[in-house]
Amino acid sequence: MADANVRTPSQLWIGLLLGVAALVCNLAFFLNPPVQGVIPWLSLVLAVAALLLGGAGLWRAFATSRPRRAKVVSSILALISLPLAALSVVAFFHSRAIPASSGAPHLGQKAPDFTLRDSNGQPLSLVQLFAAAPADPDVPTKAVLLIFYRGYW
Amino acid sequence: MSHDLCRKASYTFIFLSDPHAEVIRRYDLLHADGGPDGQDIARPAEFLVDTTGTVRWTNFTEDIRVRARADQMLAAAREIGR
Repeated sequence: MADANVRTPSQLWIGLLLGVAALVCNLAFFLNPPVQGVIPWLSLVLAVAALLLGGAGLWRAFATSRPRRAKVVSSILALISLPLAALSVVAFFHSRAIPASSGAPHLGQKAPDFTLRDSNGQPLSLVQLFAAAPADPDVPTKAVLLIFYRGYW
Repeated sequence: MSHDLCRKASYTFIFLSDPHAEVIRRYDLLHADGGPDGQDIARPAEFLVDTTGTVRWTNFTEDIRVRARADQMLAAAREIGR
């Protein structure tokens, strides 16, 4: 029977698992779930737990007397899981580092007029958009949805 | 977004291009250095504007990964359609 002090600390395996889970749960954005607002927080919690467990496991591996093999395995696990978890934490703060946009038009305010070119190179103003592409020619357009799209970064 | 790409993806809505981020600035939505190569791009934002030019619904995300869902936008549009 192997003594518990001979093996790699279990925190490192769990930490690796949580580090991978933190990264993988970001893939849920592509499934467009209704509660996508919780995904960043879930990812952060998993990543922080992975960092704490990884750190604790690494400390246990080296503070207590363990065979060389357990120390090597521990180091490798920590080397994978800690940067992985750190990446998710950095991604969390990076994704939220967006301008406040306090000057943007808010509810009840007038949307500033503009003219931009469409995919045919034709200039279109905000007012012209109402007449530009009615979904049903018999139903007058009542509103225009403006989406400021920037790709997925 | 080119005309051919829109047709291939069968998008029926209108794509407008703001290459110099003029309208993005006018709407105070500039995210300086936000692009993958450090370009000045827009922060994600959605506005529903009625025929009087009044903003009736907005969505400003706190996380660029979390965008307005189609069902949210359709629900807001239905409110105006009533």
